[in-house]
Amino acid sequence: MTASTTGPDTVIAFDHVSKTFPGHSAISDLDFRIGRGELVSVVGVTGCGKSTMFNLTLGLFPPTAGVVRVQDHDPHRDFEWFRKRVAVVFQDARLLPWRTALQNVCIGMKFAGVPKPTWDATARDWLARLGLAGREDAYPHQLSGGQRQRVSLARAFAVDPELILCDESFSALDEITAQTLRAEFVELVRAGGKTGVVITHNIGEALSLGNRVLVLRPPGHLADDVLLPTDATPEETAALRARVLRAMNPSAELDPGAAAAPNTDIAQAGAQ
Amino acid sequence: MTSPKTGSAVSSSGSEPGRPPLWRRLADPKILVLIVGFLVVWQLASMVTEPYTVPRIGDVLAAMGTTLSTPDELANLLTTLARVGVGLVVSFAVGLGVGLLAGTFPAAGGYLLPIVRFVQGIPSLSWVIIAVIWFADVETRVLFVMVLVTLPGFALQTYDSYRAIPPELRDMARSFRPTALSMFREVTLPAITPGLFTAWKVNLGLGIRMVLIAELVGATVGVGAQLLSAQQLFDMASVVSWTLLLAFCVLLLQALIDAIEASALRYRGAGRAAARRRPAPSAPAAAKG
Ligand SMILES: Nc1ncnc2c1ncn2[C@@H]1O[C@H](COP(=O)(O)OP(=O)(O)O)[C@@H](O)[C@H]1O
Ligand SMILES: [Mg+2]
Repeated sequence: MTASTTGPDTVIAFDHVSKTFPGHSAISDLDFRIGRGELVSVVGVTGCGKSTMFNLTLGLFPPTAGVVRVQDHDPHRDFEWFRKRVAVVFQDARLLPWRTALQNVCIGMKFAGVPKPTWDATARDWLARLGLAGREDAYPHQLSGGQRQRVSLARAFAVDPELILCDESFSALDEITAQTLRAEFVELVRAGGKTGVVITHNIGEALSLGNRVLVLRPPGHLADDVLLPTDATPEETAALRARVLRAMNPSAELDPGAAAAPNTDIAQAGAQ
Repeated sequence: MTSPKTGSAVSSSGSEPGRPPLWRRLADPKILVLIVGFLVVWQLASMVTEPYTVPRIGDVLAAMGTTLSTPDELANLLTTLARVGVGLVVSFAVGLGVGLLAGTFPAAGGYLLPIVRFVQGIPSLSWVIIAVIWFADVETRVLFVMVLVTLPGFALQTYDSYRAIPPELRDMARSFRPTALSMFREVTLPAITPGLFTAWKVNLGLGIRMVLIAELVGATVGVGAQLLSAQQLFDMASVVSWTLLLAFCVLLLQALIDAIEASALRYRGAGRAAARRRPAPSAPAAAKG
């Protein structure tokens, strides 16, 4: 995991990356690779630098030290190159309030430089696939939280990116809606042959979503890198859960109940 | 209501979208009572005073009728309105540029904003005096005064609205790599539009009040010039007639701005009642990092 070159199948490479904001360090010496077609969860207590890691991946700002390579390009310097190659689904749907559901999906494509004639049909298609047929003309304030997040998923998938990032996209939703959307998301990523990175603070979600879990610990460095078996027995899953919890917050060991609880949230694990 | 922040930023400026149109407000019985009461008091006062103190209602109506039906007279009103219009448009263009510049480049804002705030603090009458000394041409004087008086409002409102755009929304847009033009047209402009309407409404009132003062010095055409000559003739009916005509024009223009605003911001009203009935985004949102 510490090789300093990136191969053709490496989509994201963080090479001893640090990011310091005035006064404090958000990421320090973060080092990992994510390969093509992987679906990786990122977990860690609140404030451990997960979103900052995404912003670096997106090139919204440069790292203070180290090198970030995404598809063998510098995401900050080659910002434009990533047009249509990467899309993000945020925790809050971040829809434009003055645009309808359909228009919001179209605007993602407009921003990404997709040719205009295809916008309407593509947007309708994705909204329908995400269960929003008939709601195309609704404004964001007329949709429920789950529906808004569906629009933002449609907006991301409609540009047909190679890399798709989710930042706690399902955690503001009720558990039923979250589970449905999560399953649809995994299905869409796999069917589209895309690479996905999903930030979550739900350990159950992290363990069930993809093939691998990256565990971050403050101030933003890699505490563990857990490969998930395809068919884990309940015992294996419990062991993995305990391992992730321990990596996330070593002091969690003091609370034997935390590892055993079926749906332990990082918020709780980190709260003590 | 994409997020609490998004929602509040968009509704933080601008008037209430639910404000009824002008004709509906005029039909309010309270307004009718006020108008009738005013006319009664006016009529009684005019019966016990000299016409040059309180003119008769009939004389004022006659003066208004003459103005509206005589092209040469009407030109005064239209000229004044045109001066206000040109002044506001120029001021808006400059103010929008200054506000956006200050918002986009904090370094530029550090120099521009203190200047704008300083200009805002200078009494309007000082600008009139300065304009008289600096410019011989009446139109230049009026434009100078109009722009300097209304520019700070446009610039500061643009700046504040720009700053109020949620960074989350910009990051979302940037994550798709938009061109600068797309970013401006799809995010920046719609986000600052409510603030721009507020600035227009405030500055329309300010502009009308100021243009008369600017017209008092040197103008031969315009409502201000007519008021001056009416004053010299002790022609109170004309004074009231010009004043009322201008006030009605302001009401009409405000109604026009209200209508454009309602149309531009109609997305806010869509399904309003339904949205209010729906509970806020689910509780776990409060626990996230
Ligand atoms: N733009 C910023 N300016 C200053 N500090 C920031 C900024 N973004 C994040 N931080 C800080 O960096 C740390 C990591 O934040 P973040 O990446 O958002 O954590 P997470 O997503 O894991 O909750 C936090 O302490 C946060 O306050
Ligand atoms: Mg975060």
